Amino acid sequence: MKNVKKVIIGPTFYAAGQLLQADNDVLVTGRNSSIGDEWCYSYRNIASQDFFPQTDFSLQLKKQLDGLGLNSPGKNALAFSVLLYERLAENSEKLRLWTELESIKENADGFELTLYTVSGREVVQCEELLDNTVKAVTFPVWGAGNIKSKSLNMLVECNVESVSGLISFEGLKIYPGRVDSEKIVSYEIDPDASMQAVRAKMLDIWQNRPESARAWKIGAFGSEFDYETELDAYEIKPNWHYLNPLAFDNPASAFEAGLTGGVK
Amino acid sequence: MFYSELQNGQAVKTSVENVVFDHECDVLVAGLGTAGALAAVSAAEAGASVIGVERLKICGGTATGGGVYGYYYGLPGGRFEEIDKISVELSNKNFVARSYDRHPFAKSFAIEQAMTAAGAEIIYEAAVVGVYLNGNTVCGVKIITESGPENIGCKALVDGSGDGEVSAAAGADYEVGREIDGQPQPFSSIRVFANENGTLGLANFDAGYVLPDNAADLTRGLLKANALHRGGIEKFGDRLLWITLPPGPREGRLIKCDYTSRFLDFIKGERCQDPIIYAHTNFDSHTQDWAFESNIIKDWMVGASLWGYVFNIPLPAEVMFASGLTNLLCPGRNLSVDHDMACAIRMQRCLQKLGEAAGIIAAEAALQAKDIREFDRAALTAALKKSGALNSPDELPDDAMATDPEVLNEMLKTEAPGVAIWVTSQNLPEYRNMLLDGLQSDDVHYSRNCAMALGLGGDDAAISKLTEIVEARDPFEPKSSRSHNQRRLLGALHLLGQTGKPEVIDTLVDFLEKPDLDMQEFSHTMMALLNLGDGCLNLQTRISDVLTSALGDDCKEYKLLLKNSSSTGYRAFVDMTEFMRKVLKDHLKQWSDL
Repeated sequence: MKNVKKVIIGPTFYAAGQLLQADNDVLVTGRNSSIGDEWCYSYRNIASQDFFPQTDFSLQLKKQLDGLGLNSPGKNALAFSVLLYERLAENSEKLRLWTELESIKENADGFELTLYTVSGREVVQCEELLDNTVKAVTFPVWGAGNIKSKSLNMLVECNVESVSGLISFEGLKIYPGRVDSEKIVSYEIDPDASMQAVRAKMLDIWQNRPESARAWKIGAFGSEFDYETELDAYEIKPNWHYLNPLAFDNPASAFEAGLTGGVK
Repeated sequence: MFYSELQNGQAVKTSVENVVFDHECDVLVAGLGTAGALAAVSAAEAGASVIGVERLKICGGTATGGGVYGYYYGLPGGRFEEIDKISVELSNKNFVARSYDRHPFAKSFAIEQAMTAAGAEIIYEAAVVGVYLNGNTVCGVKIITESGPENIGCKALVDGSGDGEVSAAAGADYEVGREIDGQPQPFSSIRVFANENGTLGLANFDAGYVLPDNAADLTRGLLKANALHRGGIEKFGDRLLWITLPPGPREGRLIKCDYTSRFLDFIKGERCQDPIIYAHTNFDSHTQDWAFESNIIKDWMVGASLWGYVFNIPLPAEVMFASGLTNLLCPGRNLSVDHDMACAIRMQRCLQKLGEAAGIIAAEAALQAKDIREFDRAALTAALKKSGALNSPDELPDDAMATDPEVLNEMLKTEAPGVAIWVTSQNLPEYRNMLLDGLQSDDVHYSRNCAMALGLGGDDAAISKLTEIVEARDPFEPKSSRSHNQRRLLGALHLLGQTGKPEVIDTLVDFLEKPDLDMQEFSHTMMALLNLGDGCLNLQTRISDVLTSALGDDCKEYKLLLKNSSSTGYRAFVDMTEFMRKVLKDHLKQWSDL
């Protein structure tokens, strides 16, 4: 059995920061094959691009982003994630991607987690547990009630001239993307709606889009939903916390919070 | 009833009673990737109740979330064609794409549509982690969803996991990787971006080595791979759409089934008698450290430089039937092939066809409560011919190699002598005199090619000319293949190691001691010496000393350049020095143990 002080469920940007904290005895685990999907693949419309580095590493990141002409970390979440991977790879023993969480049992020493990886069943013992998934997968009934709104976004390529006048149609809201020719098209849905059903509905609406948007083409659907929550932090039980990974201005500030602090 | 799951990579069975299944179905498909998605569609269309379980929130695997939306070889035809047609129509009207592209999300949507129309249920964000068995029959699975674990009863199971973890959990035997170190082919990473001209862009490159059945190594490999996209964001940072959502191993567990397709058997002419589909591709290995592959691969790839030669490989249904289990099928890249053949049988068209066939067989077995091996062969063949998945032999592209001596003799004089080297070497009695004549020719290029053929055929007459090739550090690179042509020098090194003749050691040692050897030259010389030592016991001490010294602590770093298909020209290297030290140490230990 593996023993660590803290397990974080959800390979988020915040968790990546926690993982890179020196001497932090932590294991980050999650189902996806990458980190920061909650920002990278929700294609979230982010207003604030503020990123105030407090560490040398973050300062280097900011310089790299600026050097690449990507000085809006909110809009360029995926590029920002790429800059983190080399350092994460050096600490890969603290991370388990492509991993399922089966159960959590409380015991005298904290929590015993049963995970399933490609190698099979693995039991991990920890003192502290942080659920860093938006939906609070370790406490799902509460997590479902904590969702204030849920949307699916898609990235759309358009010719700039056709934008004027078209703000929304059939419930699809349109926001600026990373470049002039890109738009984020957002569709708010029922919190219980499945990805399959929502994509089908959005595509159905899209196929009947106004003539002025006929030339607009979908680049990608989000593979993660975009959420707003009622509470961003919650103590599920002593030493077992929930932290909304989207409760930050942007991915860079989420990473910075993980790198420099603990759970507030 | 037993419950079986993986623990530390090994299947562990425990007796269980009174298992309650939360859902029931005829056919459960674990993993809705390239093969699994088509299996789910065809099983449902054959009348079975189907549940497909997929870890991601998108089905279709490599072609969709993986971003590889174009085909690489494979023959057209099969159930997937209609899905592709719908995908193209959707793409044209709604997605960033060229007129003939299948945008990944359009294809996923078309698959979902086909599954739903046929009544199949999809459970996204869930993975199969264990299997329930009655004797040697699968009767259900345990899945983990975001709400926790659930049990699903089923009458047949299709393992569409790609890496074979579901079959392994059920206790099926399997192989992983090459003989020398269990290493599968390099895995790929892909990024998808929107071009400024309104089309979809794709950069696909080899990202390193990973053991896909090892959790820690898989995570390490994924992180390293994603870091390599650093080169891409300089150009496409603000136009990136996604980086591959499923991990990109080309090869994982190869499940032992009733029939195993082996590369050596294939090139020796062995063919299955009852094909249900034909794979059509080249030996598309992404390996670059050829010296550590099997001798037959070195013969084909290095000796004859035939990487790009395209052939038709007939595959029977039994290549998917997990041995010892009555109702478990493996139609994805976890099907029963050896490591060498895994390079060729993993392409999307081929796996979609196998998925289609697996779904039909699974449905029949489930609905008629019988072993998958009792499938109605005539009915399956008819169905696959009707869909276009199974070609008649006369419809197949011609993959026969030339046999006319005059043609082959002329070919040996060209810059693309590979086929002639191969054919003559494999049929040496027929062509030996022709090759011996050529060996004496004043045309250096021709005579060296004749030596390569004789060497591949194991004829000692080649030794002096092979030695000449090594001493001249012959830079000639044949044009026999579209790409990945291997220098004649490397082939000669390999073949000298195969001769078993003590007199070649000086040539190999002298070459090894050159100060400026690159990774390929060094590794081939090293393996040639080890091969030589295997058969010449009295040379082992000298070879041991020479190689130990050459790989001493102060030796240069030998870096391997991985195959690179990226449009950015980004180059990924793997440091092989420590690996070669380990190979040497293990080999020397074998010698001392003997």
